[in-house]
Amino acid sequence: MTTPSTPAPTLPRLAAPSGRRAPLLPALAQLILAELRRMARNPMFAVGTLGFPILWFALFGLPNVRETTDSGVNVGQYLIVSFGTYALLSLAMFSFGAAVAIERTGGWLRLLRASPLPAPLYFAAKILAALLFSALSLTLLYSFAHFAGGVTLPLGLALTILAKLLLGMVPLIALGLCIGFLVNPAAASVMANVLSVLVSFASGLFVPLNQLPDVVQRAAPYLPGYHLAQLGWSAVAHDTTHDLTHWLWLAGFTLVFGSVAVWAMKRDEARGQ
Amino acid sequence: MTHSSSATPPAVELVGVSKRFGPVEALRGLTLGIRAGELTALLGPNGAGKTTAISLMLGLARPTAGVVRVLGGDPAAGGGRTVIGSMPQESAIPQALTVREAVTLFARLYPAPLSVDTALELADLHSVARRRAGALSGGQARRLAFALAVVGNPQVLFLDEPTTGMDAGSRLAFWHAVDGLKREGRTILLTTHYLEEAERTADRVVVMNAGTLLADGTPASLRSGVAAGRVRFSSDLVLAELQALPGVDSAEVDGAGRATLRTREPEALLVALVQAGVSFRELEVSRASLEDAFLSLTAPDALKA
Ligand SMILES: Nc1ncnc2c1ncn2[C@@H]1O[C@H](COP(=O)(O)OP(=O)(O)OP(=O)(O)O)[C@@H](O)[C@H]1O
Ligand SMILES: [Mg+2]
Repeated sequence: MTTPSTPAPTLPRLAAPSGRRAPLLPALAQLILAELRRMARNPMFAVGTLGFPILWFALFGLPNVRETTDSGVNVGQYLIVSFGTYALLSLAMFSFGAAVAIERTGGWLRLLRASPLPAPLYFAAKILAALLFSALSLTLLYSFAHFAGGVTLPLGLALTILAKLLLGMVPLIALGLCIGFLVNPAAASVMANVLSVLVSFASGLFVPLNQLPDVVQRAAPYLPGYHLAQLGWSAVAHDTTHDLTHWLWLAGFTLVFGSVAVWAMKRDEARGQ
Repeated sequence: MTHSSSATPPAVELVGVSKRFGPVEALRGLTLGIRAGELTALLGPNGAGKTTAISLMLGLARPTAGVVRVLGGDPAAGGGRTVIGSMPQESAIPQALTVREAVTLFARLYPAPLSVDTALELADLHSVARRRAGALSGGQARRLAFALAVVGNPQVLFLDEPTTGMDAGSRLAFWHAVDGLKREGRTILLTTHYLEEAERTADRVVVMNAGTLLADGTPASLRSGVAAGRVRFSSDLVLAELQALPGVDSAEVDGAGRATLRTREPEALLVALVQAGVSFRELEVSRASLEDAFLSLTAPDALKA
């Protein structure tokens, strides 16, 4: 411990305020790095978003990866999309639901608001970090399916699925933000858990939709997870006739969840303390 | 009041500011100017409105009525944030980052930050620089919050109860750092419940209670405002004789002849005692402290006066 008798470190002279801002890119890079560190260092989060999808694939997928569905789609590839979608869904719920709730109530968000950080940069960094982490999660799942199950996605198809799922993840991120700004951390964490499992189940990610009860089948088209998975499955099946409909649904969800999230954020901001 | 009508405008200005939270009136018509380059201590009992005043100055909340200006602008517009640092009352730190990572992150948000090592040194954090923020002790977390407040090399610093939870050594190091910051011409506003710290370091003390200003001046001027210089001794004098001594504001005496006198001029009182040839024992003289001033200002009956 330094004693007060040591001379204070030399401080640069005070510069006159110049209206200058910090360069954006280094700030963005640091924020993304901080997000990635947060995600990687939280064992529950890393296991939940990287480990569970692979575990589910191993338990439910490996026994029948070589089969083909009635419509001639390889089951292994189909399941990569299913569990990949599940991974992104839970990542969005936890990274934007639970984590934002903690940052908001713990005062970190308030401290950032008092700093010169432009608010959009905070969200941009969070979204970019989540996309990077999602890409990692999908890559691990692809690799596991390849090495442990012999299921190989041709490079072009692998990249198409990656791109579609990441882009289609936007409404899930918006939903996560709604949770993060509306409920307290304990409730947010429960909601993140429940939503990622329930939505996944009802979207046909764990059990194919046609084997689910009738009510669930009828409810599925109102869930963002369903449309996201459909976009991935359509790539696997090389049948993209309905893609536009699914994109439109996802855009609609983005609009709704996004508006609620912005409203909730403004409400939180107006509280001030 | 020592208002100088000098040309430099106040760094922070509150004019007739009120802030309401539902039924609670946290601030009532508060008018206050914080002069540039000074260390101002904002004092007041719990719930006085100190944190509320700071969040208005940071532009985090808007006043219900009145005007808040920081460096000549509206703080809520955010224009001045590159030259403002703040340390909230509750340490807000990113649990998953190490101390060094957190300070580095914050440095990147400012156009002309201090070096990370300088900030770590100012906050006496080098020994825990690699520790996760979530694993810090309460006092260490305060020091990290201080490092985050200064790393941007701000011109104006708002420190809300900075030393709460710090041990004696950390407090000394903290005040040492604050002295250095002040010498460089920074404007510092801090709140504290440690009045002896405010007395020692502040250029100016502002006392508030229930959302209004009670007193505003140098620590010395506030002390002299209360007749709380205290002289105690044992003698054979009776109450009437004690009250007749020069400069006595109030006098008490107990059954054993132990007298307690309050006076603004203890020296004159002692000279008079000696000249009168009174024999006295167990003499105790204590100066009015800022704490005495604070207590008499914020005592419930002082409000009516
Ligand atoms: N968000 C809020 N909602 C409702 N009431 C609030 C809110 N923030 C503050 N208050 C009330 O406003 C008053 C002033 O609170 P403030 O936090 O400013 O006090 P303080 O002087 O900082 O006290 P302390 O020394 O305990 O930190 C208190 O009565 C408090 O209960
Ligand atoms: Mg307070």
